[in-house]
This record gives sequence, structure tokens and C-alpha cells, in this order.
Amino acid sequence: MTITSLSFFGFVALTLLLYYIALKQKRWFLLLVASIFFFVASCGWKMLIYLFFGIGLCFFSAKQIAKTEDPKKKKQILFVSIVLLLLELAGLKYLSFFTTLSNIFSDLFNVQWYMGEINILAPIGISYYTLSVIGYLTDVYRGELKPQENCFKMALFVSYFPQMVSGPIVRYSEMNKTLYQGNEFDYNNVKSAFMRIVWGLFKKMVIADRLAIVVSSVFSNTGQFGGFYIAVTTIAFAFQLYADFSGCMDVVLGVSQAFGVKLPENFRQPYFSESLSEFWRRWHITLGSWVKDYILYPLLKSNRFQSISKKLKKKYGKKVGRNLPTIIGLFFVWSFIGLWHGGSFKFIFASGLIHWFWISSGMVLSGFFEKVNEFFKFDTECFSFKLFRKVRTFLTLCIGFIFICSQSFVDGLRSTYRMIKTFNPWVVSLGNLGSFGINIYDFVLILVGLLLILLVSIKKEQGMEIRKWVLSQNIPFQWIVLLGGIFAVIIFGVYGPGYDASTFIYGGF
Amino acid sequence: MENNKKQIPWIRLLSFVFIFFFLLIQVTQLLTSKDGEQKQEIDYLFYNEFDKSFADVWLMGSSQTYCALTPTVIYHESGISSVNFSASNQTMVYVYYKIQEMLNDGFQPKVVVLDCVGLRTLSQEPGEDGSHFENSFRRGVLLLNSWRSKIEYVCALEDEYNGSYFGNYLFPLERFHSRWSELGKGDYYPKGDKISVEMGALLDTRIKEISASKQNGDLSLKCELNPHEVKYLLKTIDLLKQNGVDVLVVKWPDSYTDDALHNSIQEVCTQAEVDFLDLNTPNVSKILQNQYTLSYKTDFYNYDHLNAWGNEKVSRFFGKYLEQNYSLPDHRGESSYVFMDTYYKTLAQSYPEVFESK
Repeated sequence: MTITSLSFFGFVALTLLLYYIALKQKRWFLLLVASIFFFVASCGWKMLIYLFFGIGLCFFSAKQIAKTEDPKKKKQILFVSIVLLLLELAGLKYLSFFTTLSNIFSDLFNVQWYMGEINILAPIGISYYTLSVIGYLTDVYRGELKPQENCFKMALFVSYFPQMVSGPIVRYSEMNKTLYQGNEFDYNNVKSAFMRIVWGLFKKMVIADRLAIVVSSVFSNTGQFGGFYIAVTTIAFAFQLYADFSGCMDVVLGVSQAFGVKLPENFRQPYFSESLSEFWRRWHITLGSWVKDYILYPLLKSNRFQSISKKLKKKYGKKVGRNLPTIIGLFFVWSFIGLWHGGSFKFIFASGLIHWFWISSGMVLSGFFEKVNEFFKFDTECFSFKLFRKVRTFLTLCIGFIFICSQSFVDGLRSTYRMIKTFNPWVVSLGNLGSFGINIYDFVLILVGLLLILLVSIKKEQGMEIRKWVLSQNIPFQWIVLLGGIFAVIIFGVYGPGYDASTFIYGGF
Repeated sequence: MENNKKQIPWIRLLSFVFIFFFLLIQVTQLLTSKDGEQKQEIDYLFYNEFDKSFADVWLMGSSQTYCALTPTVIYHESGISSVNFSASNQTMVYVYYKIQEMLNDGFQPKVVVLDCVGLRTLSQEPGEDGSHFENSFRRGVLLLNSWRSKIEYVCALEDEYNGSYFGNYLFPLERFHSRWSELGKGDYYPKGDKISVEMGALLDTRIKEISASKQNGDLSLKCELNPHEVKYLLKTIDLLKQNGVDVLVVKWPDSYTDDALHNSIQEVCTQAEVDFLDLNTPNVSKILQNQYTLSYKTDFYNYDHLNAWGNEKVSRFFGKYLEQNYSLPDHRGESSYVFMDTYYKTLAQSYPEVFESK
């Protein structure tokens, strides 16, 4: 059951109806039943075993951690639980990667130990709920949370269906109140949620899936294309990825909002970022903040890192003592993020280490750049400078996107080489749209769609809440906007026979 | 304020739902492929321009029928009024519901001609993309006028073929939504903006030499017929008989109607007690070739379709056949049929190579 399918919306409508007619104190249980149903409908009942393992581990470990007085034992329980959760995740999602890795090493060291390809079907949402569960256990360990006493309520936190496909990575403290309290029906809230869902579907089905045609036309035949073909397609992928992931989030958050359950936002106009660090505070916000709170800070605050920092400060001065441990910590963080996106070298590099490289370089060279700005007397607060930084950040991101679009890391290197080697700006013309797999109508739609996203993003950046504004207008205007959105999706959406309904890109992570 | 929040404005909500579905139906109709565009014109003429008793003969069937008969020529030849409702791969399931709909709407024919070519086609499966008959099944929904007939037709398809076609056929938006970039005049005005002087016929001026069907009168040969088509042929015959309408089952000239096919169709017709006219039998074929100069060298455009010349000849033959075998009025000279003479003139001017010697 994909979340752009009619069956999903039928399921949501029915669940909503039942939710609001159910007794207030039983509403959360209805959500649990719906979530289990969604899980089974999406990946089969056999996968329930993995979900129940996560729920069981989360419930019992949290209780044990809270009950145990001995800090050392607490730590041991937390450690074992996290290891078990990560082993489950690794076994299901990364076994294939580890066998590839093992074969590479056996090749390198000439050891006769080859493993065949192993592909195990992973349950939906495992990458997301595993992180949520680890976060929950850590919060309980830190004493920031009291453990949930009701195992069914715990099960709902782990399996809550809107977040199962592509997150966001939720924290227990962020949603426990609205998740269990049995929310009252609020017509305006449901209307606003519906608008958000339509907007999400528009981004996904009209823009992202149309851009996907462009991306797959070029990147499925990279041998035939070079130069501006790859450059333009990579930029198209950047917009596709954003429209796809943020569209998905709008659907997910909209569905959850309709139930009155508030989920954390995952995006804040990421392509307006002036640096990569800022980008990761605006893009997949819940992953960024999770990694910061549960990996980076604990790592930097650990005794080992603190002593390294002290030694470095003594030997090489304050700056090195401060930056080097952070850079080492960031290496682990970005390796984790890369691996989380997918078990292959291209993800480790393109979603992880390349960002580590840029951010670390930025840290090391920040002093130099400041001096350059001072020397040339650049006004770093003016619009043109900010625009330059935004464009620079965007193009830096695009370098990584080439690898994500490519079949493999090596293929990504080849594509980058072909992009640099060939100079053919003339291929970017209306007459050559066919080479990108689209026609003039698709092009106009993409352009209009992207302009609409840009306009909405600018307004949001200025602090305006578009949906609130629309809902404050008269009914005819509201209906025109809503019906316009619905019919734009129905007519211009990419779906139907001959088209393999593409899943959300982040659903695969 | 709190109370206002909890109240659901039902009237607004229902109005919104109503507007949504109204627009959805309009958008669906606009975007749905008008494969039967030409046939919609005929429907439009039939329902809006003609008197309910205008057509004494309804011609139903496949492309063989619209390539074989031009009502304008039949009228010119014998004064018999007819309309050609045939369409590519028209199925008997559709024919049944179309006739039922037209009878319910008060139209009353005297004779209905049923082309039985579909009876030989065993591989009809709706709902399959690329299937030979898929367009025909869909066109059926398009050409039926009332929602009741459309729903009954789709339900019948579901019963016959054990599939689920309801949403797919009645609201085919998922299939056709991407046609937004290729919409043409025919999509906005599917009923047409000109009067078709062919009245449902197709006059193709291509020529292909084919071999005539070989029948030796061997009554022992039989072949399998499509059970769904046979079932609905019999239902259609029953329906027409109940309404006092004569039925004539026909098989138009082609290169493949052998003894087995002829005998099998004849058996069905005998069982249903209706006439069967096979234009491939040696007797009829001889008449066509000798009296009407039908030639297998020049009067076909492929192995089973007559071209414009063949159409003109078979239309004349068929007009005479109807005149001789059914008591149908000659409308020539009647004021309400005068326009048919104009149609014939226009038709002759449109195809001078076919009609110049007439």
C-alpha cells in the first residue's frame, strides 16, 4: 500500500472516521490496530516479527533501564539493546553490503572466502523506527523520560503508520501527548491537513515523478550522455529529491495532523541554505537533530574525546584542539548518515563522507575565507553575497547527487568525469527536450510547479503560513485552491498504466 | 468559538463533495479517449436530428459492417431508411445494451441487422492493455448514453469475464488522465460539428486483391464460437422479438468464412429462429459477382474489409435484399427524407471515383 495510492487514502478516510467516532480513551488503540494493518498490508504479516522484536525490546529494555539503580548496569542494558537493534537493522538492510565488503577484502588479501549475494526483504520503516527506539531508550537512560508502562501504547509509538514510510524520525517526548490523548475532531484542522496532503501529492506526483523521467532517461544510459546532459539532470534530481521527500513529508504530516497527532517538521526550505551545515539543519531535520543528540554530542562529550581535545590543545593550540576532535566526531557521524541512506559505497560517499569533507574543510578554512572577505571588503550581509552562498551550497550538494543518481560509486565517478570532459551547453534547448525524456508540456509543468514551490518557500521563509492564509479567505477561494490542487494532481500527476508507481525515494532508505 | 470548531458544516462539506464529483465526471469525459468519435456523431444525429421513427433498419456490428453498408446508398437504391451503428470489434454484449437503451428511449426499428463476425473470435478479454478488443469494450461505455446502461453493460462484462472493470471502465481517469496534452477538437465536441453523409459507413479507397472464401456446402464441419457472443446474440434476438422487430444475422464477404464457421453460425440462427444471410455462400457470392460486379481483385482493402467500391456494390445488393425479403416502406419522395437525396449527392461528390459511373 503506497501512500500515494487510492487504497491508502481509502484506508486513511476509514481510520479517520472510526477514530473520531470511537470512545476518546480508546482512540489511540484504534490507531494501533490501523498501524498494524498498514504494516501488514505494506509488507506482509511475516514481517511483523521484526516489528514486534523492536517493540518488545524497546518496552522491556526501557523498563529495565528505569528500574535498575546501578549506572553501570543501566549502561550495559542500553548498550546491549542498541546493539541488538542495530544488528537487526544491519542484518536486514546491510547484509548485501557487508558480503560485498567481505568479498572485496577476500580479493585484496587473496583469501578463498567468497559469499554469494544475500538479499533479505526488510520491513517498511525499519530505518526510521529503529532510530526512534534508540532515541527513546537513550532518553530513558538519561532520565529525561519515564518509560511507557503500557506495551500497546509503546507499540503505537513504534508502529504509528503515517511515519512508517519515510519518517520523520520522531522522539517520544514530541508526540506522546497528542498520540495517546484521543484528540477531538477539529474541522479546520482536518481541512488544513487535507490541504497539506494535496500539496504533498502535487509535489510528489506532478513535479518529482515528472523530474524522475528526466533523471532516469539520462542516468540509466550514462554511457550515452555527457557534459550538460549530466549537469542539468543532476540539478533536476536535486529538485526531484526535494519535491519527492518534502512531498512525502507533507502527506505524512498532513495525515497525522488529521488525527490531531503532531509530528515534527522535517524541512525548512533547505535550498535556501548558505552553507552545508545550515542545509542539514533544514533538510531531514529530524535525522540531523537525532544524529547530533545521540551520536555527535555523546561522542564529543565522551572521556576519550575530551582527553584527545585537551592533548591537542596543549600541543597545537586552541583551534586545533577544538576542531580536530569535532572533525573526527563528524567523520563517524557522516559515515553513519551515509550508511543509513543505503548499504553501498555510493551512499556512504554521497550522502555521508562528501558532506563530512565539505563541512570539515569549511571549518579548517573558515579563517582563511574570513580574511579573503575582509581583504576584498565583501559585504557578507548583502543579497548578492547571500545568493552566491546559496548557489554555491546548492552546487556543492549537486556533486554528491551525481553519485546518488548513478548505479554505483564507480559509475558516479565515470559520470562526473563525463560531465567535466564534454562541453555541450547547446543540448539544453527546448528542441532537445526529447533527449531528456519529456516534451514541452512536461517542461512547462515542471517549470510552473517549481516556480510555485519557490513562491511558497519564499513566503514561508518570510514567516507566512500559506495554509493558514488560504483558510482565512472566503469559502469560494478556499475551494478553488483545494479543487485546483486536487485536479492538478489527478490530471497532471504521473501515474496510471504504463507507469510503475514510483515509491518515495526516502522510503527506500 | 470552541463549539464552532467541533461543528461540522455538513452542507458545505456535501456541496464540496458534489462539486468535486461533478468536476470529476466532466474531467473524466473530457480526457477519455474518443475512440468512437465518429460513432458518437451517429448517435447524436440519431437522437437529436432525426425523428424517432426515421430509421427502419438498424445496422449493428463490427468494422465489416461499416465497410460493407452505406445507409445513404441503401436509401438511394431502395428507399429504405437505415443507420449504421457498427464500430470496430463491436461486441454482442454492447449491441444488446445499446439496442435495449434505444428501444427504451422510444425508437422503433422494423429490422435489426446483426453482423456475427465477433462470434468467431475466441480471445476477447476486457481489462487487458493491448488486447485487440480492449478499445471496443471501452468504447461501449462511451457510446451508451445513460448511466444505467453503462453500469449494466460494465456489470455484464464483469459477469461474463469474471473480472473487476467497474472503476476502470466507468471512471477511466487513471488510464486517460495523461491525455491532457493531446486533447483535440474531437474531445471538446465529441458529437461532431458536421453531418456525416456516410451515416456510419466507412468508404476506404485502398485496393487489395484477396481470395474469396471457400465454401463447399459441407454440413458436417463445425467450429467453436465465442460463448459470450453467442449468449448475447441470443439475448439480443429475444429482446428484439419481444419488441416485434425482425432480426437478420449477416456475414459480410471476406476471405475466411468457411463451411465450419458458416454451419456453426447457421446452427445458432436456426436455434434462435432468425434468418442468416452469408454473403460468402456460393449462391449469394455468384449474385454479387455477376449482378453487382463485386470483384475480389478490386473491391476489398484487406482480407476481410470491403473498400469504397465494394461498399457501394454490397449496399445496393443489400438494399434490394431488404426490399425483397421484408416489408419495409420506400421513403423516397417523403418530405422528411428529402435530405437523404442531398446526402447521396454530397456522398457522390465526395467519392467521384466510386460514384461517377452511377
